[in-house]
Amino acid sequence: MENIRRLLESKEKFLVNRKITLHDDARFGPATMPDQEFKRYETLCARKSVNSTVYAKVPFVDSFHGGRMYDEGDNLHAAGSLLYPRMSVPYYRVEYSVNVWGGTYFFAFDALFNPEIVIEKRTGRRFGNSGVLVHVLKYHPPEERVLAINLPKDVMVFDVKHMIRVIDHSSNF
Amino acid sequence: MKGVQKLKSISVLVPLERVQASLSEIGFLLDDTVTIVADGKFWNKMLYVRGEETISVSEEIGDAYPKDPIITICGSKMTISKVVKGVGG
Repeated sequence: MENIRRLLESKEKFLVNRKITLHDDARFGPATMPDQEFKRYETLCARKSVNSTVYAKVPFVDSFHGGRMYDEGDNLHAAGSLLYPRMSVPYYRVEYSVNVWGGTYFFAFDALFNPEIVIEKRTGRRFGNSGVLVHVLKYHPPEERVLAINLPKDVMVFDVKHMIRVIDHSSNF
Repeated sequence: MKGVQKLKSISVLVPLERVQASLSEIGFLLDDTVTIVADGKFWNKMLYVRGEETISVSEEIGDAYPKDPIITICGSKMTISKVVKGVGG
């Protein structure tokens, strides 16, 4: 940010590109989260401390991952397998790049989706025709405005999230 | 706020509560929060808004000590000086 401020004050022309991509590659699981973040999941799961195995406290449905069901006591993220959580948090990878003086400088971070835990009535093979109340874990993407780096209005930011690839079909004819 | 916007980013060694109180005093309201991960560290990023001016406050979560929230201000010169003064700068 300070580098961008210096560039602005130097009146140098530069371009800021931003790319936001959705990832769901099991990179972030409940065992490796700091306590403050883990507290948001405490209705559903428990652990002794950071990097300890996480178990389900109650049966719940992960609606983001196609209604995946976890039973009470299920191992959600094993201490011995921290790189491969069974329950994972989707995230946006936000990449900023600044083009200046013929070079490109990158800055990237991941923004975790916000969990919401609700109790819903579910029916089906597993829950029976009359249905049962079950905890449901939902994930909501963070708002775009909070992902943005604060920049003055006169800085041009190219947002490549909505980039449409133009394919030239004319060569086929 | 139609004037020229400036950019300022500072790290302060004061508790987050004091930063929040200071922003609230000058009319900035909390708009949204997000948990971000950068360089393997978890951060809580809070976005404060007043008209067209925005301030983001990021604090590392976890066992980090000392806590030194990073404040990034995109606003008028007057706002920048008020915020810096408010957090003891």
